[in-house]
Amino acid sequence: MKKYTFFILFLFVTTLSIGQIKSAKLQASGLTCAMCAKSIYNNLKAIDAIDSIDVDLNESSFLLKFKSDKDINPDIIRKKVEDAGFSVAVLDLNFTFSEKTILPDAHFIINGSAYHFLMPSKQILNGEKTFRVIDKLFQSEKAHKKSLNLSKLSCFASGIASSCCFAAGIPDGSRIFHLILINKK
Amino acid sequence: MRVILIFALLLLSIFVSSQELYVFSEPASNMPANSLSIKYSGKFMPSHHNGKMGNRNGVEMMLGVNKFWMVHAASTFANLYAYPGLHLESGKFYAKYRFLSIDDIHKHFRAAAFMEASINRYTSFFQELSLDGDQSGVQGGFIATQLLHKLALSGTISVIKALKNESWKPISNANVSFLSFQAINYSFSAGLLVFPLKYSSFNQTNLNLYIELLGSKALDKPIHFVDIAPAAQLIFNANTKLNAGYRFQVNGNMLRMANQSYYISLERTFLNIIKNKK
Repeated sequence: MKKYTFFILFLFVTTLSIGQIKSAKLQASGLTCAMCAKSIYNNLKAIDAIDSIDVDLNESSFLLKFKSDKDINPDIIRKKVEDAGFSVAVLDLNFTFSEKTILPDAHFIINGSAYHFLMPSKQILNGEKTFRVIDKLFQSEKAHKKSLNLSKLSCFASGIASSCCFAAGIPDGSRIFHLILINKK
Repeated sequence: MRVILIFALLLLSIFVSSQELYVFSEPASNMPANSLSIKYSGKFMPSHHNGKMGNRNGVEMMLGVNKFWMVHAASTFANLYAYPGLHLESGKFYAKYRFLSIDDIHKHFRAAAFMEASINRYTSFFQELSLDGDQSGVQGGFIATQLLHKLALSGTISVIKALKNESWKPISNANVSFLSFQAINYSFSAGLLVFPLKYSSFNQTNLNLYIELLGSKALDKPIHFVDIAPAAQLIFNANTKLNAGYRFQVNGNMLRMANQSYYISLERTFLNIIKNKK
């Protein structure tokens, strides 16, 4: 029975796109000055998938709008922030769904990157939903320590797909990002 | 003396909210990777020997290599008492490795190690050791910087060794046994972002105020000095810095070129010098 479920999931992952990432909110840490924010801004501008960037200098946050159907790799976004000399404190991805059922520990490849949805229960998602990347180096050390309580799966600790992901069609050893649903005000 | 020091420390502790782009010292943070800065600086030193104003000019290039490393190459040109007329004086190479970085929103703690080496065409007849035009030598040390929203505090400690190079020819009959060749240099710096109170764009002019305590203690002679250096910095368009500072000795018994100096510098930063689309 279990095998059968995996097979269905496998088909689901590989054949259907569940949604798109339209935009993201990035908050950088380790800076106050506009000069520092400018270096992050310039680095982000060099990412091909990014269409436009709105900056909130007082919050050190960046609203990234993506071009459609482009590969979006959170690691590249993080690397651009780190190259500027700073860190990612928050990366919230805004997905658009149309009536998608998401089970706890569901895996999907979206805009070219693999995501593991850490949902407490089955949910049907519709419209724009915000998910936070909670992998190592995408949060402050303090926040990440708390996040580690959310899942004991080995792929979460390492950020690398392992047995649970393989079952869902994500090749062993590939990069996987972990998401939690954020309730927008 | 002690009163002035306590007063300075009090001032530092009041500045509790900035920036770490110090005028007289380096922070533990590096420049962004793939960015280049070019700086011109002028240091003006009224001589306490003859009252004339000596002048030392510096040109420095700084490059952010990656998130761990940055390098500087610098040279000085001077018009000083012993050698009048503007001439090339020294060249320096500096490298800094940031080995610790703990970031939080509007906060960070960073630590770095640095090494620098300089070559100087001239022999210094002063006891103060520095690689910015005074001696040929090497220096290595550690920097720790804490950013707390608008306040940045930083401390540096280093060991400097002046080298007697082959061109080291003391003026005939001059007694040079008083010279020092090894010292511990240290600094404690505070910077405060004063303006803008709230950001609205990158192009807003920023004003930062700094106060730094700069000291040196020779290891081979019983001599030392402690300076206090207030400075102001304007940042235009998030890429151009204008610095102005005054440095004066509050305590010391070293023979120095000048016990006080005025400093001005202009620095332009170029971000993303090599474009790579991803």
